[in-house]
Parts: sequence; C-alpha cells; structure tokens
Amino acid sequence: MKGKALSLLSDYGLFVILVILVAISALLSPLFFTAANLKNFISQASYNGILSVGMTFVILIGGIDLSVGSIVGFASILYGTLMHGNFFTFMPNEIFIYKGATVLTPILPLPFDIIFVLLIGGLLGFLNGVISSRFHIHSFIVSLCMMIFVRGLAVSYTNGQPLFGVPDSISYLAYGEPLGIPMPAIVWLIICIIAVWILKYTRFGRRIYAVGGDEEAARLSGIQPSLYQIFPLIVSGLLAAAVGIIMSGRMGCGDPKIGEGWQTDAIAAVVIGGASLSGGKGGIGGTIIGVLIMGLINNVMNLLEIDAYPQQMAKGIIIIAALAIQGVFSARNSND
Amino acid sequence: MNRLAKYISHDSDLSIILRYVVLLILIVVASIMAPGFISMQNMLNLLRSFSFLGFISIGMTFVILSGGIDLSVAAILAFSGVLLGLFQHWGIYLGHVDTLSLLAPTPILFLIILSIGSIFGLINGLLITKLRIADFAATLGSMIFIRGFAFAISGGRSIFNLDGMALFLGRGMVGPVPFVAILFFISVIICSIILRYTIFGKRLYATGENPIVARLSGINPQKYKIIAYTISGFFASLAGICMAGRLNVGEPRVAEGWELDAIAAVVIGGTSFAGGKGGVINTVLGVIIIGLIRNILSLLGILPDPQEMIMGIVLLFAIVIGSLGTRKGSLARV
Repeated sequence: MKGKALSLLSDYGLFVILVILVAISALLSPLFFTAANLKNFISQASYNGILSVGMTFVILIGGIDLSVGSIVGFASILYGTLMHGNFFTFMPNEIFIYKGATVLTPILPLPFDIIFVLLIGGLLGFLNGVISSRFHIHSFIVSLCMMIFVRGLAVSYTNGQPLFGVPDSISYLAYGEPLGIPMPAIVWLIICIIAVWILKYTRFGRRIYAVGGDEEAARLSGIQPSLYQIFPLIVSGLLAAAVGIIMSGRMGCGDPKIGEGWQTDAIAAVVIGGASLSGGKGGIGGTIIGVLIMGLINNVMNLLEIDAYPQQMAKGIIIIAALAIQGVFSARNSND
Repeated sequence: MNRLAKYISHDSDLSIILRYVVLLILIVVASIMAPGFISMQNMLNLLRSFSFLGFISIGMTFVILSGGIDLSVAAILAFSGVLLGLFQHWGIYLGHVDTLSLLAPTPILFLIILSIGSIFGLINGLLITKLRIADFAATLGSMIFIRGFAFAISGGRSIFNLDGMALFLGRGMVGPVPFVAILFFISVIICSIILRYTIFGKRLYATGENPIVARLSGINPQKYKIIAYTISGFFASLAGICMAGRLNVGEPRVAEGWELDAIAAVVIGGTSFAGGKGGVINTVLGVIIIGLIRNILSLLGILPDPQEMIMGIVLLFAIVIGSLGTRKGSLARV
C-alpha cells in the first residue's frame, strides 16, 4: 500500500516537474509557445520517443542497448541503398560520389523495402540479445561492441557519403501533418499504444517484468528467461531501424553518420521516467514523460542558443542526477 | 559448450598458453607483412604506442578486479590533455593563442591535472557506492559529462604546442628506449607489487570476488571500490598527459572509444569480469595483443572506418571469450 502510494507520488511528481519545466520554458523564451516551435518540439521528441520505447523494453529486463544510435545510421544508409539499385553496377568508389542525380531506382517495391530495413534492425538486435543471453554477458557491453561494429560498417560502406533522394511517401513520414499533428508524433503514439498493450495486457509483457525483477524466481516458476531477454533487444533494434527510415525522410538522404549519441538520450529519458536499471520496474507512461522532459530541455537550450558542448555536459549531469535520485529512493525503501 | 568454457576459462593453464599462441601468431603475421617488423627500433616504437592504452588498462584492471567497470577513462584522458594545453596556454583567455604562457611550473601542472583526474575517479566511485548507481550507468554519465567539459573548456579547438617537459613525457628517449615505455613499466611493476604483496591488493581481490563475503570478514568493500576507481582516474589522466605530449596538442577528440579497447585488453589478458581474478601483468599481454591487431590492420592499409568495424568484432569476440564460464558478474553491487 505504502509502495503503491510512493509510486503514485513519483508518477505524479514527474508530471509536476514537466509542468514546471513547461512554465519555465515559456518564461525563458517567448518563442516557446508558438505553433511552429511546438510542432518542431514534438516531432523532434518523437524520434527519441520511438527509441525510448525500445529502450524501455530493454531496461525492464535489466539490460541496456547502446547500439541504437548506430542502428539508426545503418538503417538510414541501408534504406538509401535500396532506393539506388543502379549504384550496385558501379565500382564502390564511383558509387558514392554525389553527382546531383537523385533519380530513384528502388530495388524492392514500397512496403517491402521498409520491412526489409526493419528486419535487418531486428536482426542486429537479435544478435545483441543472443550473445548477451547465451554467454551471460551484460547487454551493455555486447551492444557497445555492436555500436562500434555497426557504425563502422555504415560509414565505411559509403566512405561516409550520404545517398541523396528518397521517395515522397518516406518524406511524408517525417513532414506530413494530418490534422495538424506531425507524422513522427503519430508514429510514436501508435508504437506507444502497441507497447502499452504488450506490457500491460498480455502474458508475454507480464513475464518480461517477472524476468527483469528476478531472473531466478522467474525460472523457478517455469518461465524460460532467455526468450524474454532476447525479445526486448529485437524490439529495440527494430524501432531504431524505424527511426532510421523516418530520419532518411526528414533529411532527404540516407546518412550513415546520423544518430551518433542518441542512445544516451533514450537511456536518459527512460531513467528519468522512473525505470530501474536493475530491471523489473518502469513503464511506457513514465518513459513518455521522460522523453518530453528531455526534449523540452533540448528545445529550451536551443531556443536560448546555448552551445552544443555545455548541452552535452548538461545531459551527463541529468542522467547521473536522475539515477542518483532513484538510488537514494531505493536505498530508503530497502531500509524500511 | 560447457567443456569449451572450462578449457578457455581463467583457471586452466591452457588459457594462458592460448593467449601466448595468439600473440605468437600475430607477431608472425605482422613480420610476414612488414619485413622491418622484428627490428629493435620498431619494437621500441610499438612499445611506446602501446603505453598510452597500457596506462588506462592498468587503471581498468583495478576497477574490473573490484567487480566494476569504468567507461569514463577515455573522456578523462582527453580532458587531461586539454587541461594541460590550456594550463600551458593560459594566455588563450587573454587573446594570444600560440605563445606558451604557463599557469605554473610544469611539474606542478602535472600534479594538478593528475589530482583532477583522480578526483573524477573518486567521484565515480562515490556515485557508485554511496548513491548506488550501477557502475556502467554512472561512468556512462560521467563519460558524457567529462567529454562535453573537455569540448566546452577548449571551445572544440585543438591547443597546439606544449613545452619541453610535456613533450619529453610523450616523445622523449632515454638511450634507445622511449621514456613513456619506461614510465609504463615502472607503473606495471609498482601496481603488480601492490596487487600481489600488500594487504590492500588482497582485500581488493576479495572485494571483487564476493563483496558480501568480504563485508562479513570485516573488509569495507565500498572503500576498496572507491580506491579502485580513483586509481583508474589517475592513470587515465597520466595517459592523457603523455598522449598530449606525444601529439604536441591538447585535443578534446582524442582517444574516442578507447574505454572499450582498455576493457578488451584487460579481459583478453585473462582478468575475469566477475572480479577477483587476474592482474596487471596479464593486462600487459592483453594490451600488446590489442595493439598488434590494430598495427596489423594499419599495415594492411585498411582505412580507419573499416578498421573500427573489424575492431568491433574482435572486441566482441574477446569479451565473449573472457566471459565464458562466468555469470553476469560485472555488475555486482557493493
């Protein structure tokens, strides 16, 4: 009962922090409450939001996925490649010189290219999961290696050059505004709804919580942990690939260098949202608020024209502070 | 699979022999590809290039022995280099950039920077033990912060030209031997004596092996973990100073991703992720193996980006090998 009250309070507290931050932002910059900025804010936040949904799954089982930023870049350049089938006939060094020609020669018809990229993203996540689960290595270190490998693959594959030209349907994913709501936000919302459904209303989701809370207890009650340890990393890789595709639409090109460092934003959002890094605690609701808080801080710092480097420092402090608050709280609970 | 794990795991003599076989194969491959490889001069040069990674790997050994992991070492390395550059170009804030203007005599600067690095390590240790943040999460946060700090104080610029003493640290030769290599080997000897023959060392192993048992036998595990992180911060900033001297520049972009190289070097050397097994001498072997792999990739004429890609696989492989036969031990809470 007491624990329930405390968790209610912490959810409520997060919401209060969000409201306070909105008020402060409005005071600091008169530009904040303009329709253009709000639309910009929400569509910027949705990229991190989509990644954070995957990261929530991973953190719920006590893992962490550092490779999502690299998978975003890889998915983006992979999508660009699928759009430029005629490039395959040239030698690599000729392929990647930008000649101003953006004639699209898709290899696969429309829905299948997206599905293919999503599958590759899922496959990379699956590799993370299998190695981590099979060899009992914590997923942060497996995904750290994967981060380096995937980024190296993406960048060396095109010598760091972007591939220009994406179809209109993909640009619509990034820039479309049905009913005045930016399309990325709609994608984010749909993904959140599916994730909430999986986590709250299916046996599978509840077992993810069980495995994250106590692997040994879950095993003893007849749950095969490895399945539930691999699945979240697949989700994370798949959603990272989705972000990569939408990002290609946003930039009008496949860029292998996009997404560098995005994994830390996603981790920060999930942790601010109240998820515990030791697993078993957290949810999509908290993550959404975490994403909005992170996005708000980014947005305001940009509006105030603060340099990128102090912004990076602030991010580091925010992550540590969120974890520290959590650590102090959990210490107090365990002492009771 | 379990039998394989038993063969390669850390207890068997076979695992040590396996590492030397790998080293031998690498040396043979390298000497076939580059005829001058075996020459004394090249060996000494290699020794120097290994030393920088070697320093942070020594610190990482202490941390991994205590059952933790430190992702912030490369950031501390870069920060220390930038700090040295700034302290030696104090006039940068007055508008004249290229002339040397020391804040204090160089040895004092070294002491200041080394203590700042140690303080970063101390803060890591305190965050992990007192605030109960997971090791990798706390050091991930401080990695982002410190790297941002290095960029912020230098404004993202490289600070060229350091004074003679700093250059000697990175480039100087004592006879035919690079000074930094001598420094590295002195550090290795001191650290392995500390780990093997002192009460501190024995208690550090005990802490890493099983913090609960350590506490029950009257050791304060938190204290040893904090000290391990402080040592790691110290060696990271020592590496940063030497690196700045070697490159003659304080550069915030330096050594990106080296934390993983250091972790891999420690693990390849045979120090277990579960804590409590291994040592500094083993780590030297790991550093040489990692350094040789990078050296061979360069000899093959592979560009930096594909090199990263290959290293990603090599490191993953090393870590899988290093973790065979252990549980998820790297995150044991103190």
